[in-house]
Amino acid sequence: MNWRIIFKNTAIVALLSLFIYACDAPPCDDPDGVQVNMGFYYSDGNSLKDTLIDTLNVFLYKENSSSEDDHIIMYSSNIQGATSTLALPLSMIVDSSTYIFDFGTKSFDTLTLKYSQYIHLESHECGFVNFYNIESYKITNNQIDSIWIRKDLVEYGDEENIKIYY
Amino acid sequence: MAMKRILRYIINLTLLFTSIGVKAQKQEWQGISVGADLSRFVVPFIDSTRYGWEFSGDYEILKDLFIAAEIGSESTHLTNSNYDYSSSGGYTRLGADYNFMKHLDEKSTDKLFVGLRYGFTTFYHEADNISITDDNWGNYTGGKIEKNWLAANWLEIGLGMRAKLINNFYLGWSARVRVKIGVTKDTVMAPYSIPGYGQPWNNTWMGINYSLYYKIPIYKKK
Repeated sequence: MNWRIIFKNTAIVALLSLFIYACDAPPCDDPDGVQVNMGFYYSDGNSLKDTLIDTLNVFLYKENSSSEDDHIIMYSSNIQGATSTLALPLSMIVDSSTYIFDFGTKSFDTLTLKYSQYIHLESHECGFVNFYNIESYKITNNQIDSIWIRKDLVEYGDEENIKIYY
Repeated sequence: MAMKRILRYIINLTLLFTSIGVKAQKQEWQGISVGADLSRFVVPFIDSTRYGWEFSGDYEILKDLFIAAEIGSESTHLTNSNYDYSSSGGYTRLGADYNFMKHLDEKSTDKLFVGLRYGFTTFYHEADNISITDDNWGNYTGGKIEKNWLAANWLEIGLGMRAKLINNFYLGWSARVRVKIGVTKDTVMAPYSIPGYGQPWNNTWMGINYSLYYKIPIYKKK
């Protein structure tokens, strides 16, 4: 038996194997997860313009919460500054999410999104994420005029899902 | 002429490096070679999520041209804090090898070959105990993705060597470049591994076989 053959062949195969297993998996996407992207717009009668909202607090409205403190604040213009866009998380536990928009004028608007959802494997390194399909909505009209669902599929990325006319 | 000499020199060097024994023999038994891929026993030590087996066979149908077939199975079990994943399936590769050893030493029974394979597989995968962390609305737990069957196919180009150990036993390796042709799209969950191919997110991939062969003697070739 030629042991030199065995030894050298084994060494070559081991080196090639190390090269193959050194290859990495693709990197993970957005660490913030999947969020619904919204933009604020204002119509001056002729054209539609992005609108910077100076005073705004956005809360997640939890229906079963016993106190107002349970409604998590997701955006505060006092901390984050004026904005014309928002990215908000959607609930995976139920098929609807409600947000409270506090414009600081003692008038609030609430937006409820109803959707279907399905889990999706981002990658085996990064795990699962949830994707959503917005099916309907309810909005109050104190400060917000109306909304338009521009893209009903909520997935990774910055693409705008909802236009809010203010 | 000079090119031919250089080419011969390169091939001789390759053979020297791999120490393939070149021995003159008068008559040699010919027949079907069957092999078991020994590297499959090592894979679980490098990648503890995968295990499987592979057998191969080849037969010389024309001078220096061998038809070849490989069958195997591969399973994956992946457990982490957010989900459990498993997949399993069988695969087949069919093709041919051309042995150019005889151009270097006409009487050698060793092989130095290039090969082409077409590979295909059907396999299933599923996931359980899926959880997604959400600090705002609350965590998602207990998700499950039912068993889903997928298929894939690919081409392989390989280079390999095989040397005689003792009697009709041979040891050899081949390195392959795999080019993915297609894989069933699963929009919910991409497979972790394609049996017989490798990582599905790469359109080309490399593979290695390190096999022990036994040549079943059928007839003697002069």
